[in-house]
Amino acid sequence: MDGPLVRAARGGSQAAFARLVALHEKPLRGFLRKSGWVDADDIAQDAFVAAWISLGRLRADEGFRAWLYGIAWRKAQDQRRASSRLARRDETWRDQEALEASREVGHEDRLALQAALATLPEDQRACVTLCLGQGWSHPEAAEVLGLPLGTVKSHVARGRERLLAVLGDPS
Amino acid sequence: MSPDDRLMAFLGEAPARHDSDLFVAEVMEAVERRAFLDRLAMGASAALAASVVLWACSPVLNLAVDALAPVLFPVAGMLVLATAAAVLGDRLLTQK
Repeated sequence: MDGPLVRAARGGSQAAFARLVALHEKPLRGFLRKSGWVDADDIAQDAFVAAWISLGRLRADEGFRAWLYGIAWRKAQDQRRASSRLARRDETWRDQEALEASREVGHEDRLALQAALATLPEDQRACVTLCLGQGWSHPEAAEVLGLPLGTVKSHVARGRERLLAVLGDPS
Repeated sequence: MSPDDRLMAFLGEAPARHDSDLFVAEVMEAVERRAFLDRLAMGASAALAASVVLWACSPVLNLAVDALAPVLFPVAGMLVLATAAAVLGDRLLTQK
């Protein structure tokens, strides 16, 4: 799906790259925000710019999504190590998030899920967000996050269990 | 909605649409800035390389200029006169 756009962008087409950004920005930012990164939007923006710069190094054009998420994940971890940017847009996001959530998930459930998600370890949160929230396969998530497949599977299973528990589902 | 559905809906939430347009614009602005800086750096490198080459060739170029200048002098004079005549003619035509 991304192949033709990636090839055009590699050839220097900013319009094609803008289309790629438009296609992937929402899930990527959603993933980073749910994974608990305060500067999620800044990280996503840096990841897109880095992707533009190093597009020539992408081996499989169709693997753009996983490659982009890998860049974003590494940038997020670098950001944590360096820690320090201000969360300018984050307040806006919190307001929007609350509005969106009221349509799909009850307010109390949402607060409980947010609290429970925040208690999960970083890797586990990322695995749960990618695999349960965005429908990624376990191998895909393992590749992007640089984790062994078995670890991803157990992170998803345990994370799901802990999050469902706060929704009153003992399974 | 089952607890699983609610969990997936919660985890799959994405930013609002209007926010997306702004984000794409910001990314493309950063990309354009980056592309501009790249072009600038490339132009500066090319200019630097050209100046180094010209500096290295300056003794030869000086000799060539010295040899060609007397020959080109009348041509340059004629070109200046022709240009001046064209500019004046253009002005006169514009005034009429």
